[in-house]
Amino acid sequence: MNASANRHPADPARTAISRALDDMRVQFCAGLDARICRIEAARIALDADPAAALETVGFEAHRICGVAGSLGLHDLSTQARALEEHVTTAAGQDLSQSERTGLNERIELFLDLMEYHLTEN
Amino acid sequence: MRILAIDDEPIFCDLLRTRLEQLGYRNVETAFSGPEALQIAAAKTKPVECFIVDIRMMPMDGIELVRRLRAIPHHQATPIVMLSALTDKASIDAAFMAGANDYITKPLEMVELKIRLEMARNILAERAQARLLHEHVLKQEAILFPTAAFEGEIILDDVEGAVSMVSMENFLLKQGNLRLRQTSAICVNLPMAETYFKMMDSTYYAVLIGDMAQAVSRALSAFPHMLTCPGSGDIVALLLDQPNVDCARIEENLTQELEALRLRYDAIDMTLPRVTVGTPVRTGLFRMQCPTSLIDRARRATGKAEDHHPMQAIA
Repeated sequence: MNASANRHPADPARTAISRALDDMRVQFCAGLDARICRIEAARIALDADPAAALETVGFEAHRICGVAGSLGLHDLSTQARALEEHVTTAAGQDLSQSERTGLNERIELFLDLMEYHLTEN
Repeated sequence: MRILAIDDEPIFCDLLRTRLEQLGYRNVETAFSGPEALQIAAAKTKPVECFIVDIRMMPMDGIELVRRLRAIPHHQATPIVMLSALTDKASIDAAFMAGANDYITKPLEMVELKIRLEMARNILAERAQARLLHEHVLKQEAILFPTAAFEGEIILDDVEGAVSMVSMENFLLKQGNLRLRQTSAICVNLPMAETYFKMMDSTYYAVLIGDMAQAVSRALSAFPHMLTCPGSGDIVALLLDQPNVDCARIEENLTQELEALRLRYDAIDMTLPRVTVGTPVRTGLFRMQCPTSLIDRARRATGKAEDHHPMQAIA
């Protein structure tokens, strides 16, 4: 049987929606640079003002989690949620040096992933 | 259905609008902040019929926005669906307590969005009927609603903590048994409710149940709670974060509230119905029961079913 016989005819509405979603994904990824800057600035300020830094990182991660997942960028969404949870747990605690290092590393990994999506999409 | 979606992430608003249009909802407006949403919501011409609200927003968060929306008279009953990446119990509790009818978690899933909005549409239809009923009561027109059934839900307006049955079920489903282990359900029943229902027309019967629900809500005012009237003379209340309910205290409070009500009923030569308070029930941590079964179990625990618990007559 010809494989093309099973193919659904192109649905113009669906195509338009797919195109719109693709555009939004590209737009979102292109805007990651500003978010990277905000998270990076907060990461640097982690020692000086941990409460404000954690608030910023948590807030940014939360927003990325919701949007990225809804646009099909599931790896970014999952990592954002993990970072948000990490930050929520850390907030209000007096972090030891090793805990601070662990948090720093997680933020770095997340920033790497953001940069990957910024350049790949 | 005219929808207003509020999210401080513009790209998410675009995405949501696209998805809603895909589901056939073409009348969608978006707002990027609570204050902007309140401005749109205040308009009475072309009123918003459903709100979709994000929680974590600046400067006004979604919970505060829901409270303020509910304070607008023409939005006391408008369906509000929360849409948030927050999944913790505190956020879900706060959303429903503020007056949300449903809660969807991000990332956005099309199937879930579709189901939830259909539910919102049903709430809208129920509320339209309740409003009609209320208007007839205000006009003192004793009309009989052909669809009103003794077993049917009674939608409460102007009762603190009152939610529709659908909203309560949504809340229970969202929490799940594990999170609900700190929540108790209690049912207050009018044993002679069916007699009253047959004696009165359904409009006045709804007013009577509303009075009783008001008394129950006041008796529970010390606890965070939500309540609903699923029908058959039952008023079911959920007591949040109250694993050990002080029944004696609730009964004492309810007696006081009913005494206050009795004076009003005496003035119109009407006998205040007797009520019974059921045994509080909770979910079992390791029970394979649907969370919504808590409502049925609370109703059974007023002593109407065979496996009844002791029944206490209050008034």
